[in-house]
Parts: sequence; structure tokens; C-alpha cells
Amino acid sequence: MASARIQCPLGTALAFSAVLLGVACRADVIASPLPTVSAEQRAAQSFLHCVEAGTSGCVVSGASHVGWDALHLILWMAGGSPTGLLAALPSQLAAHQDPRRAQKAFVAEIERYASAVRGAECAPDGSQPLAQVIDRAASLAGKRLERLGMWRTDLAAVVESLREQAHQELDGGHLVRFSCTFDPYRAYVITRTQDADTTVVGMTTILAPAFGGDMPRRKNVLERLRSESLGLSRAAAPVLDGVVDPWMPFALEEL
Amino acid sequence: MLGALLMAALAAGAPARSFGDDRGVDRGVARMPGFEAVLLAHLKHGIGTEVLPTGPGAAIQPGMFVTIGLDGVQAYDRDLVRLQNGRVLDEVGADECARLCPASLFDAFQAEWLAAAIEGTQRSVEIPIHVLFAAHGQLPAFTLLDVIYAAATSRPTRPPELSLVTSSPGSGLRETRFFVLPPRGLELGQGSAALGLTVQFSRGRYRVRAEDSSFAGAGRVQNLTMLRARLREVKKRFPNKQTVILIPEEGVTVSDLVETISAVRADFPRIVLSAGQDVVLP
Repeated sequence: MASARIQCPLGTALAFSAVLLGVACRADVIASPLPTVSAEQRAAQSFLHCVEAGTSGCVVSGASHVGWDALHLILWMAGGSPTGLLAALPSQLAAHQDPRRAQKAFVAEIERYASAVRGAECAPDGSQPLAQVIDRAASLAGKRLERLGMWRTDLAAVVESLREQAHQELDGGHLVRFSCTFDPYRAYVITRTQDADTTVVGMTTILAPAFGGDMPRRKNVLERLRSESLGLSRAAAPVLDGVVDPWMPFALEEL
Repeated sequence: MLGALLMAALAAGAPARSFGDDRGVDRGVARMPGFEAVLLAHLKHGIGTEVLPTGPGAAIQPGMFVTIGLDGVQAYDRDLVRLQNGRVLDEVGADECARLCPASLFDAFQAEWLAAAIEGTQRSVEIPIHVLFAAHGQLPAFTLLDVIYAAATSRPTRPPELSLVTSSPGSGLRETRFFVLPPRGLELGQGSAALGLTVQFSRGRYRVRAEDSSFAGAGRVQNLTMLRARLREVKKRFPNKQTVILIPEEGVTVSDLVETISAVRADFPRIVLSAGQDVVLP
């Protein structure tokens, strides 16, 4: 990206005045010191700046979030816990049928991390086209579910539907990766491009290495586990009266 | 597929929806396998069910499953660390588990719990409270304890419930619940009246003792039949006690451990594993 700067012996303020008045000064185009970032990275960064300032108001009303919801479901099947999939996949697929729910989920995710993102010093450090991510995720999800003995159902048809839907909505969009100095340390922002407009339609703070994600360092993982956004620091350990120890939660007289 | 599903919905006079129809989604998930079937498929694809220790147990309950072969450790189907002949290469202990587990294992499990916590917020599922360990029968019991302490100490909020997966002829996979001593040992208060029955063992050598100084049944036996008989005597004297602490020594394998558990659990069904930490009674 390059920007024009007017060079004029009258100084900058006078130079702008001169331009406005139509006075001819020597105009040179020189290289800007600003970093070159892609359109999707600019959109993603603007979005995070907006989140820092005002949380869920940054979610564009009327934008379609079902594409990200579809891809997010495929990514979950490709890398989520089998226990979680067995417990919640049916309800999550049913919820996916409601487009409003996809937007609500996105808003909830933004609200969860809004205070953390504020001051986290996040900067984009890469992006990848979503079309490739979608196909890789669908392929890995299929192989994985087969390995886990879950592919014998009609999940194949479901994954294919989700893949098609994700392509339909997100082809041309990007997954922009952010590294942050503080919690949440990583953020992955999903952009959608339609009619030359780039909007942000999704965000997550975790992504499997197969899709370009990684885990933060040791102390950062611990900090994340204790973060307000995950709510675990507020979850009190159950009170166990009369037991030996939290590690041995049975009656003392049995020891 | 999406178009076909929408066409079907429109043909049926139903309003078009953004994704498929109920039949499409329900058909896909109505026949989801059970947890045990998933664990079985994972084990067959990985270390194999034939290498699991054989033993009775209860029906498998859902939870995080940890697979320990002779060459690596997995949480679910994700590789965590590599092993060499069943041993962890990393010799640096993590402070969080009182150096009872290697730091690399602790870090890997902590990352797993973070992933579980994030999944919990996104998918409205609980972080697993139950962890099942499916270990190769020839794995050193010390390595099993390394992995157990790494998984348990890194879990946020509270230690998980623990189970050992066994293979039972004719019954498929079974699980045996157990506990572990706290990483920094156990110190009980005045008036606890605990016995602290302990069996420390290597192959063919079992040392029975108790932390209660008045215990008169201490001694050594050479095989599991004698151990069973000795513990039966202890049970007659202490009928309310349900717990035995097992301390495997160098050379003990997971299969040896499961055999010992099977031998003692008839009289003392609460199994507590220990890496040798202190139990201090008042």
C-alpha cells in the first residue's frame, strides 16, 4: 500500500490549504512507512478494534453467519472432543438450522472475549483463504469420524451439506490469525467478501494445528484457564464434607 | 445436498430454511454410536484391544479417554507425547504435580483441558469430570502414574474421577475406578481413626503394612493367593475399612497392577494408587 504526501516548503498545513485552494505545489508519491496488510486483515483488525471499543455492536446486522457456523461445526467434528461430539452434536446440528442462532452464537463469543481483547494487543500475523480450510476440514472430519466409528451414520451427508453451505457463503473470505501479547493470546477472525465488501462473520480463540492454529505457551495456557472469559476461576470446587481429601472423595472412616 | 434438501422441503410445502431440513439432520445423528463403541473403535485403530490388561470391572462411562501405548500418549485421538519403550523421555518434573509427572506431559494435558474449556463455552458441554486410562499391559506402572498425575493435576477446578480400562473376555471393555494419593501426600488430622492399609509390591513380592502403628497384620507374602488371604484377615479385624493403597515398585507393569487390583478389591474395593508419597496419621 502506498500513500501520497504533498511536499511543499510551506509546511504540511499550508500544503493542504494549498491543495484545497488549487495552488500548485510539487507533489511526489513516496513510499508509506505503514505496513502492507491485505483487505481481509484490515477488516479483521478494524473489527477487533471495534470490539475493544464497543463489543457486540460490531457484528454487522443482516450479515450471514451461517457459513461460519457450518465451517465451525466441521472444524469441531475434525478436532473437537469425541465426548463433546457425542453429547452435543445432535443439538448443535439442530440449532444450525436457525440462522438467528448462528448470529447469536457469534455475538456471545464476542461478548465473552470483549474485555479480554481490550488491551490484549492483538495484531494480525497471517491469513489463509477459507475455501481451502473448508475442504481440508471436511476431509479431516470424515477421516476422523470414520476412525472413531462415527462415520457409519449418515453424518457423511451432513458434513457434505455443511461443506457446500460453507463454500457458498465463505468462498472468497479469509481466516485471519491474530497473535496477542495478553489473554486470549490467539484469535482467529473469519471474513466474508461479497460484492467487494468484506465483513467479519465469525471468531474463535482456538484452532487445531492442522488448520494453522497453535496453543499459546505454558504460562499463557494457565492464564487462559484462569481467565474471566472462560469462567472457570468463578467455578467453585464442590464442598466435600466428611471426605478424606478432594483427591480421595470418600468417607474418612473407610480409609 | 443442500439444494436437494431445500427442494424436498419446498416440495413438501414447508418453508425453506437455511440448512437442510429436520429429516436430513436427524437422520445423520439419530444413529450416533455410544461412547463405548467410539472408545472401542479408537483402541482397535490404535494400540489394539488385545494389549489391554485383562480384568473385570464396571460398564464404561463417558469421559476423556487417554491411551498409553509403548510409544506414545494420546488424549482422545490427539498425540500428546512420545514414549520410548513405555517410558517418558522428559526427565524434568512439573512443580504442579510435585514432580510426580514430567513437565512435557503436564503441559500437554493442560492444553487439552484448555481446549475442553473452550469447547465447553462454544458447545454448551461440561468439561469431562471422568478420565479413562487405556494402557498397554506391558507399560511400566510408573509411566501410568506419570500420565495419571499429569492429567489429574492439570484439570482446572478439581481432580477428575479416574478409571482404568480393561478388556474382559465376553464383556468387551470394562473400567475399574480408582483414586490416587494427593501429589504432595496425605496428612490426616487428630481423631481420624484411619488405618492406611498399604500394599507395596514388585513382581512376586508384596509388603502389607498400615500407617496406624497399632496394626498387627504387617508382613511380606510371595504371591497373590497369599496376599488375598492376608487381606481377608485384615478385613475381619477392620470390617469398616474399604480402602487399600497400592504402591507399585520398579518393574511392575500395568498388567501386574491390574492383577493386584483384582486380588485385593474383593475385600478392599476402594483402590488408591500412589507413587510412594507419605501418608501421615496423627
